[in-house]
Amino acid sequence: MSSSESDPKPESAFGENLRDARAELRRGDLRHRLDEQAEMLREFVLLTELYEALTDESVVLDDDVQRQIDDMRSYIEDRDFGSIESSLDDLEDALDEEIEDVQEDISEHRISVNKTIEAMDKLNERVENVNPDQISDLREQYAELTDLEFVEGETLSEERSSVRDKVDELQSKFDAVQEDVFGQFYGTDLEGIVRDLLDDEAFRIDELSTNQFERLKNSPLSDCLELLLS
Amino acid sequence: MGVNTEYTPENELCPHFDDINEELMKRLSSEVAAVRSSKKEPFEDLFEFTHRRMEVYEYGTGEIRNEDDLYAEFDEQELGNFTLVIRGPTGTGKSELCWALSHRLEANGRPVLHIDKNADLMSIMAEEIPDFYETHTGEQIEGATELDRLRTDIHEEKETVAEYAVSKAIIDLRNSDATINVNDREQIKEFVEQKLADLISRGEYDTDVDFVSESEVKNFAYLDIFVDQSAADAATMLTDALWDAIRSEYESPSLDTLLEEVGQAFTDTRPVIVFEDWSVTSLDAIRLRNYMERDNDNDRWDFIVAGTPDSFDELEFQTQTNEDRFEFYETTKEGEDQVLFLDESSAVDFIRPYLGYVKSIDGSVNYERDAENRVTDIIDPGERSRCDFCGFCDPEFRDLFPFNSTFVKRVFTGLPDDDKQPRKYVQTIFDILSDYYNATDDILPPSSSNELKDLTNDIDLADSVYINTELGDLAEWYGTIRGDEIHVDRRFAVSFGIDQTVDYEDYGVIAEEEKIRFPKRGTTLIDGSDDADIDSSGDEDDTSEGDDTEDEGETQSPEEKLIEDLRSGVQNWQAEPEEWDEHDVYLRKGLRDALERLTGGFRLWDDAPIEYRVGSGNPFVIGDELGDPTQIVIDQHDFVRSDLLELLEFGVMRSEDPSNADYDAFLSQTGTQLTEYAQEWRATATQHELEQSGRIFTNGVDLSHRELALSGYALCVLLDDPWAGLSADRIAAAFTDDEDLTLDDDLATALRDQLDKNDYQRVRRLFDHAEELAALFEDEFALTGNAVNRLRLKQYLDYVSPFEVIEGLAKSRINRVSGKVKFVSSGKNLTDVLEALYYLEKALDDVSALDAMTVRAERIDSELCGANMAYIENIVNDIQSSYGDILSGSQESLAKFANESQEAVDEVCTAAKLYLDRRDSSRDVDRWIALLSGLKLLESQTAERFEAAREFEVSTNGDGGLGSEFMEVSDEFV
Repeated sequence: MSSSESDPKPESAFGENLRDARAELRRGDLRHRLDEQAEMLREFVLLTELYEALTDESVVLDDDVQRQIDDMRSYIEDRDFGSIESSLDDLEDALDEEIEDVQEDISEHRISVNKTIEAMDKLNERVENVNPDQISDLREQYAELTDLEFVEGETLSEERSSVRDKVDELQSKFDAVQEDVFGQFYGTDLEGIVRDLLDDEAFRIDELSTNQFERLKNSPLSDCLELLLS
Repeated sequence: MGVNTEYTPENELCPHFDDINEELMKRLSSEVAAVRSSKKEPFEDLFEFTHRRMEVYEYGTGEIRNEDDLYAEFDEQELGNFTLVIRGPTGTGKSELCWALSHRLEANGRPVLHIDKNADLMSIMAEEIPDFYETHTGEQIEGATELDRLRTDIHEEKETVAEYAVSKAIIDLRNSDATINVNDREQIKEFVEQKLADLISRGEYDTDVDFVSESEVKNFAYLDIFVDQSAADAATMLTDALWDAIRSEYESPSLDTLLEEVGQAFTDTRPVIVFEDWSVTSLDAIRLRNYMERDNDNDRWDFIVAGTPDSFDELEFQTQTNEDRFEFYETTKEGEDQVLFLDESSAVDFIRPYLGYVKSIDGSVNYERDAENRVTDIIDPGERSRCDFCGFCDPEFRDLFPFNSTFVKRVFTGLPDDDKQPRKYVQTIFDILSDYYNATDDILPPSSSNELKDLTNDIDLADSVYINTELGDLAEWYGTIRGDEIHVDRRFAVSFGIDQTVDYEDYGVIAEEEKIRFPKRGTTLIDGSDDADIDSSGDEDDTSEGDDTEDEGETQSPEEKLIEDLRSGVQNWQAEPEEWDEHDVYLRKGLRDALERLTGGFRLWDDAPIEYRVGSGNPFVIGDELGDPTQIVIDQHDFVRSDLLELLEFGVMRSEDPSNADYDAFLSQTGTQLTEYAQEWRATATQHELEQSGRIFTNGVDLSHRELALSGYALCVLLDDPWAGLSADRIAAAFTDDEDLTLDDDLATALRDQLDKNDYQRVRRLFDHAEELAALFEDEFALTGNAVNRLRLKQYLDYVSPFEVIEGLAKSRINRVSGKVKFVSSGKNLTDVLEALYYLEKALDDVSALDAMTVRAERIDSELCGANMAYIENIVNDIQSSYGDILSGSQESLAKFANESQEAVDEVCTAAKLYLDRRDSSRDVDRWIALLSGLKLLESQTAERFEAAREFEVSTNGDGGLGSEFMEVSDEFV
C-alpha cells in the first residue's frame, strides 16, 4: 500500500472523496483487526483462567508478547495507525502461539481427567452405582470446557469468574459422580486397587491383604473377580 | 423631276437614293404585282419599265408560249365565254402575267375588271362588279342595292342574317320532298354565323368556304338533319337551302347570274375579268365555274384566272372537254420551280430595270431593249442628269449601284433552288437595298446585310480576311475571281466607308488604286503580282467559280474534306441555323465542347465542386430558340466569319475524329469570345440555380453559397466532435486531417435516444454528404496545398451561424434547384445535400434533455474537474488491493473509472465547462455547441464511469472506538 505522503496532491472533489473513503476503509480495517486481537487476548485470558482453575497452576505470559501488547496499547493511544497496522500481524502471531500453548496445557489436563472418567465408566458398568448418563455428561462437559462463550454485556472479569465457576462446578460434579461410582471403595485403600483393576492391571493375590481380599470378595465386584494362575 | 446639281461624288455618293421616294421603293419591292402595276402617277410607267415579257408552258404540250401568243387567244369576236388559266407556284409571275395581259387588253379597248386577290365575295358582287357595270354602261345593275344591303347586314347583323337563313332554310326544306329532323337549331345558327363571318373575311379564299361541307355533316351531328340522305347530298341540299333563303330575302343574284347579266350588257366588245389569285372562292365558286364552262353563245366574258395548282383542285376545270373555251398555261414545268424567263444568265439583266428605275426618273438611266422588253444595254446618262454630274460609277454598275452585277448575280445563285423565282429575287435585292438605306448609324454595306445570311456563297477567302467581317462580306459579294485572288472595285469600299477605316494589310489584303485584292483560302497575296484589270462584268469568272478549291484532294483526310465542303455555308448557317442542319450539328458540337472545356466540364465556377450536367443537350441556344433558364442565348451573328470557320473545323474534328481535335489551337484563336460565353453561362446557371432571389433560402435571408459552404462543413465538423467546439482552428484542423468526418459515436447514441427514428436517420444522413460539403468548403475557404484560409474563415465565423444558415433554407426552393446540378466528385445531386442540411436543422430542433445535461455537466464541473488520474488510480488501486475483499466488488466502478486516461477526463471536464459556459449564450451557434456537447456528455463513457464511480460510498465512522476493546482486554496485562 502506498503511503499517503507519496500521493500527488488531489485537485478534485472526487479525488478528495476517494481519499477520504480510502482512509475510512483503512480505519475500518484496523478497527476490525484490533477487535480480532482483542478477542484473542480475551480468549487467552479466559483459557488461562480455565487452566488455572483446573490445575491450580499459574500461567505466565511471555515477556515479548507482553511487550508487544504494551506497544500496541501505546499505538492505539497515539492513534498511530501506521504502527498499529505494521504491528498487528506480529501480535496476532504471538497471541496465536500463547493461546495454543495454554490450550495444549488444558488438553493435557483433560486427558488425565478423561482416564478417570473412563475408569469410572467401566466400574459403573459393573457396579451400576450411577446412571451412566451422568458419566457421559461429565465426559461431554470436559470436552466442551474450552468452548468459551461470549456473553453480551459481561466484562472480562465477569467472564473469568464465570469460567472459574464453571470449572469449579464441573469439578464438584466430577467428584460427586466419582464418589458414587466407587461407593464403598471411595476414599479407602481399595480405591487404588479398583482403579488398577479397571485399568486391566492384574494383581497377585499376595499383593492384597486378607482384609482387602475379604472386602473385595464381599463387594459388588465379587462376581467380576476371578483368580488366574499366571 | 429636276436635278439638284449640288450632288457631286465628293460629298455624297449616288445622290439618287438621297431623296428617294418611299412610295416608289415600296412599289418596286412589293410582292404584289398589282402594286407595281398601278398606273398611278408619278410612277405610271413603272410596270412597263420593269416588266420583262414572259414565256410560259402550254399545258399538255409543254410548248413554250410568249405573251403575244397568250394575248392572241383573246378573240373579240368569240362567242360564248373564254377562260385563260395560268397556273404556277407562288412567286413565279402569274400575277405579273395577268397584269401584262390585262394592261394590253385594256389598252386595246377591252373593259377589264381586275379582281383583287384579297377581295371578298360580297365585295366583288356588291361593289366591284356593280362599279364595273356602271363605269362601262353608265347604268346601275339590277339587284346591286340588295347586294349592298346583304353585305352590310352580314357585316353588322350576322346573327340576324344567320337566324333568318336557318329558319327560312328549315321551313323550305320541310316544305320540300326532303324529310328532316332538326335537333339543335341554335347550333346550326351559330355554325352559319361563323360561315357568314368567313364569307366577308379577306384572305379567306384559300379556305374552302361553303355553308356546309360533306365532312362537316359527318362531323357535326346537328347538321345531319336529313333522313335517308348521304352526307354529300345533305351538305349540298342544306347549302342550297341556306343560300336560297338569303337570296330570297335580299333578292340578290348569284355571282354567275350577276356576271351573265353584266356580260350581256356588252354587245360590241367582250368584257374581261381577271381573277389574279384564283382560290376556291367560297359559296359561289362552283356556280362560277359552271358559268365559265357552260356552252352558251350569248355569254360574253373573257376570264383570266391565275392560281397555284392546288387552288384549282376543288373546282376541277374540265380541261379535257372544254379545250376550245379554256386555255391552260403554266409558269413552270409541272413539279419544277424554274421559270422560263429568269435564270442565272438573265438574272442581272432581269433586275437592272428594277434598280435602274429610280435613276430613270431624272434621265440618268435608260436602256436599250429588245422585242421582249429585255434590257440589252444601258444608255449614257441624259444630259444634266445626276449620273451625268456624278461620274462615280462605271457603266457596268451605274444602274445597279449600290450593287454590281457580281453581287446581284450571286444573290440569285445564292437563293435556295426552290426559291429562285422572280418574286423572291426582287424581294431579296430590295430588302438588301432597304437595309442599306435605312441603316441609322454607320453605313451598312449591302454585302453585310442580314438578308444575305440566308443565301449561299461559294467564295472562300483566306481566314485572315474573315477576321474583318465587313471586308470578308465585301469580297464575297462584290468580288470577282481572278485566279487565286478575289478583286473588288475599290469604289465600293470607299462608298461604304470601309476604305477609310480598314488597314487592309492587317487582313492579308492588298488595296491598289482601283481595286482591292483578296487572297483565296490557302493563299497569300504577293504585292504587285497581279496586273489583271478588273473585269467588272461579272461574267468572266463563271467558269472559275467552283474550281477555286485548293488542290489537296490526295492528301485531305475525310475530316478535312468535310470541313472544306462545309466552309462555304457557315455564313448561311449564321443567317438561318435551323436551315443548315449539317453545319448546325458541327458548329453546336464545337461550341458545346469548347464551352465544356472552358468551364472545366460545365462547372459552375472555376474549380467548382459542382457542375451542371448538361448531358446530351447544350448550355446554349442559338438566336431566338427557346431555352431553359440555364441556357445562354448565343447570337450567331456575334461571330466573325474567321472564328466561325475555326469553330466549324473544331466541331467537325470533335465529331469525326475527337482525339485529334486541337483544343489549344482552337481556343487560342477564338478563346476570348468563347470565354465570355463560358463566363456568361456560368453566371446564368449559377444565378438561376443558386442565387436567383436567394434561390435556396427563404425570403429575406440574404446569404450566398459561401455561407452555406461554411455552414454545411462546420456542422459536419461540430457533429464529428462537438466537444472541440467550432473555432476556425478546429475547422481548419478537421479539414487538413485525413480522417473522414463521422457522426460522433456518443452523440449518435444520445441522438438515437432523443430523436425519433426518422430524425435520427436525418442527422446520420448528413455524413453521407460530408465529402460533398467538404468539397464546397474547400472551394470557398481552402488555399492551395490543403491549407485553409484562416483569416477568411475567422471573418465568416464571426457572423455566420451555421444553424441559422440552414434554418434559412427553404425546402420548396431547394426542390427547385435542378437535378442537373451535381457534385463533380460523387455525382450526387446538390439538392440531396441541401435537403440533408435542411432536415438536419429540423431534426435537431426536437432535442430536449437539457436538465439531464445540466445535472451531469455541473457534477463533472464541480467534482471531477482538476482531477489527477494518477492520484485517483493510486487510491483506487489501494482500495482494491487492500480492501477489495471487504468491499465485495462494490469498488469495481472505481476501477473502471480509474482506467480512464487523464486526457479523457480532461476532455470531459472541458466539455462540461463548454456546455455550462455556452448554454445560455446570446449567440445561436454557442447554444448549439452547448446542446451537442451536452448530448455527447450524456453518453460519454468517461462521464458514465465517473457517474458510477461517484456512487461508491464508505460508511464513515471516523476513528472513534478504534482499538477500545483491545485496550480494555489488554488491561489484564498491564
